[in-house]
Amino acid sequence: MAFDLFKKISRAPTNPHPATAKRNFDVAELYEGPLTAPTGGAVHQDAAPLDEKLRQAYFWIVNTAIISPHYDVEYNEAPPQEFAVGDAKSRLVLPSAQSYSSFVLVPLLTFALRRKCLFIGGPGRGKTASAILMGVLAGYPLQEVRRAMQHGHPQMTIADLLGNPLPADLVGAQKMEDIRISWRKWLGMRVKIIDEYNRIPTRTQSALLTVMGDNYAEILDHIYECPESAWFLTANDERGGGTYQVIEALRDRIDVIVQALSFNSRFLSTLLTRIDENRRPEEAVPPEIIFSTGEVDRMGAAIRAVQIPVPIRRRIEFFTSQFELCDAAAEQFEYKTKDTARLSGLEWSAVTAQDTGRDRLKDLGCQTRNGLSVRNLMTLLQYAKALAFFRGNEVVELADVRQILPFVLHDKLLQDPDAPFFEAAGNGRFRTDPVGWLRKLFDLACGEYDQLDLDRKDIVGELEAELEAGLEGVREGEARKRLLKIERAVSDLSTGRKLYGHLYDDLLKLKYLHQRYTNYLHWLESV
Amino acid sequence: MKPPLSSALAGALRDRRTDLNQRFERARHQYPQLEPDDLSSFLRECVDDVVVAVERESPTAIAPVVSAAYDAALILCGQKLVGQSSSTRVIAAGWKHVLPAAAALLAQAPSRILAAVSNALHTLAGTSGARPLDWIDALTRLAPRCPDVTTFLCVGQVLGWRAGLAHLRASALDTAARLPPDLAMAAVGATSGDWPTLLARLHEDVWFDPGQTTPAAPGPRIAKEAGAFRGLGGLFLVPPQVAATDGGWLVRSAEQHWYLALDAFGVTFHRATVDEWNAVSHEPRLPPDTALAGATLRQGSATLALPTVGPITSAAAAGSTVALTSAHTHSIAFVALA
Repeated sequence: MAFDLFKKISRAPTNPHPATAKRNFDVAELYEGPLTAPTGGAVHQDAAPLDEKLRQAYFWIVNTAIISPHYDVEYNEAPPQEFAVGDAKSRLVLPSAQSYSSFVLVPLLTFALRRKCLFIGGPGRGKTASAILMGVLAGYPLQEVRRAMQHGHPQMTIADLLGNPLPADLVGAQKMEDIRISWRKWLGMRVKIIDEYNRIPTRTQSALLTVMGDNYAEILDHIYECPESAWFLTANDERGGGTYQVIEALRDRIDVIVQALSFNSRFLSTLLTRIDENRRPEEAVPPEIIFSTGEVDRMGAAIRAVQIPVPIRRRIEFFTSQFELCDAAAEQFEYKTKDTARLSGLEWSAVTAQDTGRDRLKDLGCQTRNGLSVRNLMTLLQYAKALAFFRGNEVVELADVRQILPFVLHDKLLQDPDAPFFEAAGNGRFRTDPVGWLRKLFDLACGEYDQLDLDRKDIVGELEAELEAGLEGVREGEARKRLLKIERAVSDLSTGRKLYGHLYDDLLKLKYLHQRYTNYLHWLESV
Repeated sequence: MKPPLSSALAGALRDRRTDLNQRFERARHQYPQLEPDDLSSFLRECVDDVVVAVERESPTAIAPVVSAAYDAALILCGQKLVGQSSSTRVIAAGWKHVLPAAAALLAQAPSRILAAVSNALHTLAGTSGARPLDWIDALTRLAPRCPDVTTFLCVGQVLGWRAGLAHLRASALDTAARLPPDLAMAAVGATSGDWPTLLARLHEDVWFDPGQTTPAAPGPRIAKEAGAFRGLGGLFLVPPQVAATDGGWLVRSAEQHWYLALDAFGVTFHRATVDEWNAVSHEPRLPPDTALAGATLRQGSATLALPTVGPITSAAAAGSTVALTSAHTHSIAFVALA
């Protein structure tokens, strides 16, 4: 095979971890080295583990295919070097551990999880090229990926998107079932690409929503069940601006949003090489980094097996709890949410004007117009696991959550640009920087969590653990004692304190626990 | 004056001149250090003999062999693994000796054999204490006896273990068991005997060398000394300690840890973790009939003067081997018990 610089992938472990398992030395190691041997025969080693393969794919893409020298997903093993640049003292951080480019990493995690990723950014920044690469990684020939890509345009019809009834059947059929449908081939693919989805007419977007949300297509009562697949969409505006407004339900189906950053002019020589070579990287994806359907299935299972330790989960809970509370939205405790205010149709400024008592600068909830949905949280947990898996870990670290969170919540947590936080010195830039803002928000939540010392003092967590141990054999006296403990905890937490989001969730949880014991006591009394 | 290229190689290069020049340019993007002179010398001094040998065996295979050899040469020259500024000469030596001897097989699978031979020599050259020249000699002798590519590669793996890659012992013995008996015996260095018996003994006794015709003297003996002070090219900053672990040994020196594999043919060190070290017993344990008295080891009625210096700092036993470290030496003594 001819020498091909595009086909070179990393031979060294891409993120080596210390060996702790039993050592297994294989004579196949003898033939590993600088030259790549074609596979075949009994003397060759097994394929790389899937996390290693995923990292090899990442490094091949960043080193060869996509010029994205933006290591914005930063990890540190030791305190990093930091520099203040310019009059505005812009912070440049040199990470002390392996860090990643979100523009490549996030789509790869989407590929591994078979979720939905939206590329945003100006034209010519590699959004479509990245999406095509993901199709090639799934083993599809380049031509097939290109042909299957759906290009959004203002005249796109449902038939363009999904397929057509056969004309002969339309004329001759006596009933609907007799009409055969010629389904579009892309519906059966494991990687689906929709280019410029914000140029698709609204009616066709609804058909797309059914495929994206429910994984099937429907024409004339005929159903086409699509396989589980990864979706890659591109747009020049995440908010749905374009020829047509993107319907909210469709935007909500998108799991992560990643921005194509600008081209660094210092890498012009790489572009020149491509012109000299007259080859495109996507034409030369090494076979070693192409994933079979079975491998992606196994990777999904391995990602699900990654553990999220309780202290990390607690911090995610604490962060999440900050945003839904809207004290002025309702009288009844359970309805004091931003969703209640939104459903009322009242102007947001009118709602916030009624909000009194809390420190609106300190309260993180004041920075958003909404809270997080169950879908958002599930996506966050899945992507945090995927990132840990990608890094070769079996448990999620806090840094994984911190790094992936902005891409998951990019357009999900809606900023209130009029919040006092954005008026504070240095915070105005967060109005235009959702990634930085969301990371800051998470950092602030973690700071508050530490200040409250919730890792050690968590009465709600203790009471929850008591209940989770089971009610089997709990006698009436013990149940009443626990009921009293809950009431005392409610009293302690609520007396003399202002109502913030995390307290609101804690109190609702205590109410839930109280109900469980109350019902249990009723049951004990009745038997 | 440079000798002329063989007509076979010259013709193959001429026929694909444009393509080969493009490959060189592409390789130069990847390896800016790639020197045309290095490539030219390598083609002349190493590839030419290989092509001549292939021409004798299979003239139709010249083009694919030259193509594969050229690509391999670009990588080897680009990474400075061959050529004037290379730190080792063994890869070039392997190309000169092993590949012509394996010409018939090379004609069948050029890329596979070129990569395997080059990578094996790269591995051996990079392993402290390994003997790549022994590997070249042995494989050059055995290559003509290999009926197919897979057998050739398996023989190479067994020879790799015998050339000092002790950690590959178990896997190499499994590979040897799949070889034809005559080749397997030759690969392990045996000149006579019954292969199943030899194989069983190799499994049992890490100090058994089938090529050693003189029987060892009765009683315990110093089978190997491993490790040295870092200032003298070794790994250890301070005198080490040793412990037995599953299938090998763990070594600790100045808060650093290694897994050590050794047998009659070699010693290899591999990085280990403090967790691995903490997971094994560090109690000095000797087999029941064995005892230490100062710098003397007693097994039954036999005694052995130990090369230890100062008090014994750790002692461990596994199978028929006792490992000992002492306070004033950076090497570990391995005693083969009778």
